[in-house]
Amino acid sequence: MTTLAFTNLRVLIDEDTHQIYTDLTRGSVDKAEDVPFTKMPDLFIAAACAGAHFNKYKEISKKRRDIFVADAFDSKIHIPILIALAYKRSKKLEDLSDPKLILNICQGWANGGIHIIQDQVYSGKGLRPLYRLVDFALEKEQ
Amino acid sequence: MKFEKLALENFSSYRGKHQIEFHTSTDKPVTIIVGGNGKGKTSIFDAINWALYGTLYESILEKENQKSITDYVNETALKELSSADESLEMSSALQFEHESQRYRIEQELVVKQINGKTEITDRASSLYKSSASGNWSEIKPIDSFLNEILPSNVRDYFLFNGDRINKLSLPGSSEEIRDGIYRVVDLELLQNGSIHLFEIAKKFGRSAKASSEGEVADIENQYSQARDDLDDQKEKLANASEEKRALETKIEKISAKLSKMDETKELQSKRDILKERLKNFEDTQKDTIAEMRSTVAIASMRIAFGEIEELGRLLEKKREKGEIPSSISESLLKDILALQKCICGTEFKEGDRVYKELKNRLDSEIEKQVKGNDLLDLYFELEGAKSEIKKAQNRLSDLESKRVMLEKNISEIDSEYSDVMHKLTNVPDENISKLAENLQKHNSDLSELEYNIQVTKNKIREKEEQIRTLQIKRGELGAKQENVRKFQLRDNLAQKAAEELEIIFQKFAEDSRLEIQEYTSEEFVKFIPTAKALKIGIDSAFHYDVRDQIGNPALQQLSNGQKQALSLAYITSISRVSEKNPPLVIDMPFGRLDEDVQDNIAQRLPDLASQVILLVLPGSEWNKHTQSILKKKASDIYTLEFDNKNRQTTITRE
Repeated sequence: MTTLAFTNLRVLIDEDTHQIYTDLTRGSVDKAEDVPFTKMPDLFIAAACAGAHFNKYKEISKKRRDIFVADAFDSKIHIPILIALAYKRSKKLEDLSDPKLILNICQGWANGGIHIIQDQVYSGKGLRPLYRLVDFALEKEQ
Repeated sequence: MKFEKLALENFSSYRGKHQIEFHTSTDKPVTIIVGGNGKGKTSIFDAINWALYGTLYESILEKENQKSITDYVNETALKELSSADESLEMSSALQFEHESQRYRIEQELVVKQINGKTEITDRASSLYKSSASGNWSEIKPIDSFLNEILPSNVRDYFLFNGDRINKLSLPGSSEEIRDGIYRVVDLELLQNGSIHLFEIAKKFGRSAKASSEGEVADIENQYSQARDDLDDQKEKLANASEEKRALETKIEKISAKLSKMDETKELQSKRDILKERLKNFEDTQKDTIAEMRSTVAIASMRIAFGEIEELGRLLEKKREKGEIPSSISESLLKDILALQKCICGTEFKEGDRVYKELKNRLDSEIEKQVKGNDLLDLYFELEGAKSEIKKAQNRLSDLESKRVMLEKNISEIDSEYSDVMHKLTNVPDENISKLAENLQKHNSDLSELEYNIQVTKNKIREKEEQIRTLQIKRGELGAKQENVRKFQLRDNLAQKAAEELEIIFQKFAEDSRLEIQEYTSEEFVKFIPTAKALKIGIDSAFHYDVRDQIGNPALQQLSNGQKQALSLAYITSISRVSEKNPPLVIDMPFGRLDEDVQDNIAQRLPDLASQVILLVLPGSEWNKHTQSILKKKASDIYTLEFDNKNRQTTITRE
């Protein structure tokens, strides 16, 4: 599967969600506690995981924007996760050798899940966004 | 280059013609000129400068001393003019040797007294070169020749006075230090080029805005506004950084004072230790948070464990059922085809029906095999991803515990620090408590300023990002309006060229800063050998940066004399980096120097250049200490005597 070619593919998101992606990733070291993600691909995967986990699939609309090239995905962690998320929707093993299809499905999951991530890190009082995400990653009660 | 002779006529207190010869040699590179205040010592310094730089030096005199060159015309000679028609000549000529050639540079003024005012009626500047036969030929233009050997941009780094040494040792001299470094880079052209190109870019930007319409105009407005905002933020940052430096200097000064007071020594030292510990903890905390940020992204993917496991289980089942084939069938078919004999004993030939059937079966097996292998890989990759996520969770958990512990430590030290500061501000001695109170206030102002600087830096980054995005939109929309696109392209080109020039200039300036820093440090230790343990630098904001053995700021621990020695080390470094090896002419070198460094500097002065001319005050500067050191190295010692009655100076050689 590591041979799956994700090259020349662009990762698309809904134009409406672009600001969320920007807010959650743009920030220097001094803003670390308020901007929990450092890279767009990490955030995209986290959003897709949340979308799949909570079964919130939402096709991206025609007003879309590409945020990075799919080569940026890490082959050791990101790609197997994308395949597992794609299988959850397609249920066909033969679809798992089609990178374009996998990405299309995961864009839908991420589109549904990005708001879940946003709520997770921003809503509620007390902890700063990074620590809210830490609690979430460590499965602590919030 | 070596000065040989200075000839004056009616210059300042030197009525008529006077001459000073400089017979310096390698063994005796120093010329001493001793004269009391108001006896014509500084006039010699001015005469050398005027002879060399003419009108340029006149404008410096006007700017810095509010003096006109006509103020230098000898007053007695002027009074003796019998009528308004009679004129008087004033001149200063310097004869020097450069690369085995002899030169004479001269400034002459012809003046008249008109209605009680001294008016210039004629003037001349000349530069002559002597040939082997002894004939003198004129060189023109003077400026370009002189710029080669004694560039005016570094003039005040080899012709300077004690005041300048002192001034450069005071806080707030960074601008001048930076100026020196920039000047010695000698790339004014590059800097001006960059400024000019930025202006051109702005001009094209304005033209693009003026010729745009509709949505293009909107973008042009936003772009131009963003550029202006960026300039404002950059200016704000520069001011705040300067303000921060000034506050840090104040804090350093107060801390140095407090650490010298017996009543507060202990508290002050405790405060320093706590401050250091606090800084270490805060640095570790920063690193921990940065690592947490990169780990949490992977750890948060644990939410996909369900999906990973579901697919993993399915693949596992398929593997168990043999639906993910092993490679046996493929090898077997290949062997049969090679032998042309089936395991049932049927023989076949290439191309016949059995062969074709078996070949088709092999192709299908190979295809299945590829898919099977891929699925097998995926099974292991899913396991690998899961394991990476679990690893990240474990690491994150450790980091979170570490962060919580660090936060607790920081809070404890912080409270201990506040306690020490409280004690310092409540020391019964009013002066001390006042100092400590000021220190606390400055620290709190500094913390706020640092926060503002960070906010401004973030705004700059955001503005730059906004400008990049707007540039893309600008390009896309500009393509719709040809006349706008034309200006946009020129704006972009000029902007890019300006930025490139700026980068080149900064690179040269940085190299020069590092070189000057190295020479300054080297020279300072020669002036003050006891300061060997100190690390001397010029930081990127062009401030002197002195650190003790453990890296604490120590500039304010230096005595005034040591600070002056540091300035002198810096000044002579500039002269050294300029690679011109000019004579060093210092008016009152010890005038502002503290006694603790006078001897050291006197020892070192003869080695600073191949020729050193010192204009000194009798007594405070030319005393038994300096005499015992410098007489051995002096080729000539001149004494200036001022006749009060005739108001003129005479020069006597010892």
